[in-house]
Amino acid sequence: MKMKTMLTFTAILICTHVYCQKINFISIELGFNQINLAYSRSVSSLPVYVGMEVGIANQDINNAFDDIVWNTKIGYFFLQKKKTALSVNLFGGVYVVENDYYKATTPVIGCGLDFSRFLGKKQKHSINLGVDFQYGKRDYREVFESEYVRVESIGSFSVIPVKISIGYSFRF
Amino acid sequence: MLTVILMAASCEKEELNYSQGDLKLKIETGKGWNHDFPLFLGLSKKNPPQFAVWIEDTNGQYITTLYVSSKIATEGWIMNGGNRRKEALPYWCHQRGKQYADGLYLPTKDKPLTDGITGATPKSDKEMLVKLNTIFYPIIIKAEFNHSVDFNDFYTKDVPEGSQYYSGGKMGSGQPALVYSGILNSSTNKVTLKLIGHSSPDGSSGNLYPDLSEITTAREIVKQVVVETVIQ
Repeated sequence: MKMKTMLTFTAILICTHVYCQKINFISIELGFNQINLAYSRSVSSLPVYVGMEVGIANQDINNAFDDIVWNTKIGYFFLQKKKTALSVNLFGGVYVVENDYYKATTPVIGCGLDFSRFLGKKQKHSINLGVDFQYGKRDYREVFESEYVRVESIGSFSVIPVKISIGYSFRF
Repeated sequence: MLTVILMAASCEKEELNYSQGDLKLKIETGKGWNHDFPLFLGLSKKNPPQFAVWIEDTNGQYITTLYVSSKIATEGWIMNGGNRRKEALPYWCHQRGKQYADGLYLPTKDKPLTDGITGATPKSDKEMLVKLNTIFYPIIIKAEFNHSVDFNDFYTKDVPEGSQYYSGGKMGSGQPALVYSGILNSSTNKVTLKLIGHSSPDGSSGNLYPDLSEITTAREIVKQVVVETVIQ
């Protein structure tokens, strides 16, 4: 349900803003255990952008890409050349874990550094490299009950603190 | 705004709420709880141990599992090349007595543990609330702990298969799993589990070996396991 809500909300925002700004970019990012789809747009004439990303990831105990990632992001291009750009960003969001044993909606904050290499004459395409440092920890309750016993325990889920990704962006 | 709301909603604190007669089971970690596991290029990672906690009757018959760490419960090993690590917690596996299609007593990815709870092994102390539904005192509570690659002068990485010290080779267990046990009856409010032996080094049987003279650093995985009855 949460995944559907997030995807719907993201789709609405993307559709709403696609033609509103001069620079928009849609990106796909591949990390070791995470795949994100991101939408960002520039803020007026400043070298600043805001965006959001949704993704699927695999950091809990079931080794399946069924965790949900939702982040909003603000970034600043501190170095822009004709073919390359470097930006830093701050982000916050949630990392939703749900498996057969527990659920944990984990708040996440972090910062990142992105490098972009533009391609093509109109530079509508770019290859991106990113490294994010993030913090997110959530305690969760586990309960097991059988005819013999009821067991309760508090577990703790933490997101992996460093995320390295490679991606592709399309600007329009 | 939605992100802020979601983040705020996910910051709720969780805690255990005990009632009269509940059991509080606490695993206090020792200085060997987190152990170096080699990765690549000389890098290593601090790994917590695999462990299981369960209840038996006074005849030594398995009743139920309380907790098992997730790699055992779900066959959650990464890049293990098909090695199911039968040497990890063999005593618990055999006491539980559930055999799977490959002849081992370990839960699989397709048929993970369902009779107990699991999670990633905690990096520090672990506490559990236990309510006994249809189990009556006296009961025996047992726990088994083991690290991978916890080698010492006896259980070395190059011991040949077939030796009494063989524990799975260079990525195997090293020192075998250690088993702790304590009896809780209706007049006992608190019991500290005692170290009663080690498991089969290569995981081929569910035997318990009381001679601990060749066990060294594995004794430091756990400081103590205490079970107490909550009195309010």
